[in-house]
Amino acid sequence: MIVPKNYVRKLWWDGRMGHSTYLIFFLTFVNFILVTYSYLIEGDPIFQKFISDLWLFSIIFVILYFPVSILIGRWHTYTQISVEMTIKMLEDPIMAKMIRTLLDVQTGRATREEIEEFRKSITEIEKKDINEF
Amino acid sequence: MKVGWTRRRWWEFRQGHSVYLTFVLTFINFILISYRLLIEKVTAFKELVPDLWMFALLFIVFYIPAATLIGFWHRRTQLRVETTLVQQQNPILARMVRTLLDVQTGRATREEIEEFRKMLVKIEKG
Repeated sequence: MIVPKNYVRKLWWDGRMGHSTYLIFFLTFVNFILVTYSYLIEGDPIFQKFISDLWLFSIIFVILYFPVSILIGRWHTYTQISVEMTIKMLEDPIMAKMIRTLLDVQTGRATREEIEEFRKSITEIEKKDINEF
Repeated sequence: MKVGWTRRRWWEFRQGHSVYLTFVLTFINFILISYRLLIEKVTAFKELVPDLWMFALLFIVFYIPAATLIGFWHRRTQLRVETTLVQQQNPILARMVRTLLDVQTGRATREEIEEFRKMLVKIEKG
């Protein structure tokens, strides 16, 4: 049997994405609900008056958690991400070097040696291409 | 740019933790908590899965293929939505590409090019 190139690595990526982007919520919610119910609500006369049952607590938690999380996520997408991307880009010397060199080539400021050296470093990175296309 | 030894090890430690070892910790947590606080307490569940090791094995056997299939779907459909949303919130990259375009089309002024170049050099130097 011939295994396609990078097949196992792609499966590893897919597995991690499935876990960390989707299924982790199920694990985390079940953990949180069980731990909170067992060690906080169960046995406490005040909490027990309002939430008498584990399943009731689960339903209330899920109903409240999703909209709150979506609202926070929406705020994050439209306000916080641009701040984080800016911070990341301003701390990304390789990207800056690439763009600056392209600029210098365009404006005639780059020397032949500089262009050659830059091309070499780019070619080194290109060698890591997984040749998907 | 030379990065310090400690900073490299810190990055490697975080990669090792968040990309690999965290699965062991998360799975053990989930298996123990679910078994001790849910399955053991509910008779119907306890009859279905009478042993902790059986539950652990069943969980792993179902979880890994499920995560892989969902991840494959994510890569083929959802990922492009997410990269689009993130890149639409990336003003520095947009500025870089726009300035290169303006240089190419002759729209950028000399001052604008100089200012942009200064910013790039500053980022390069750190």
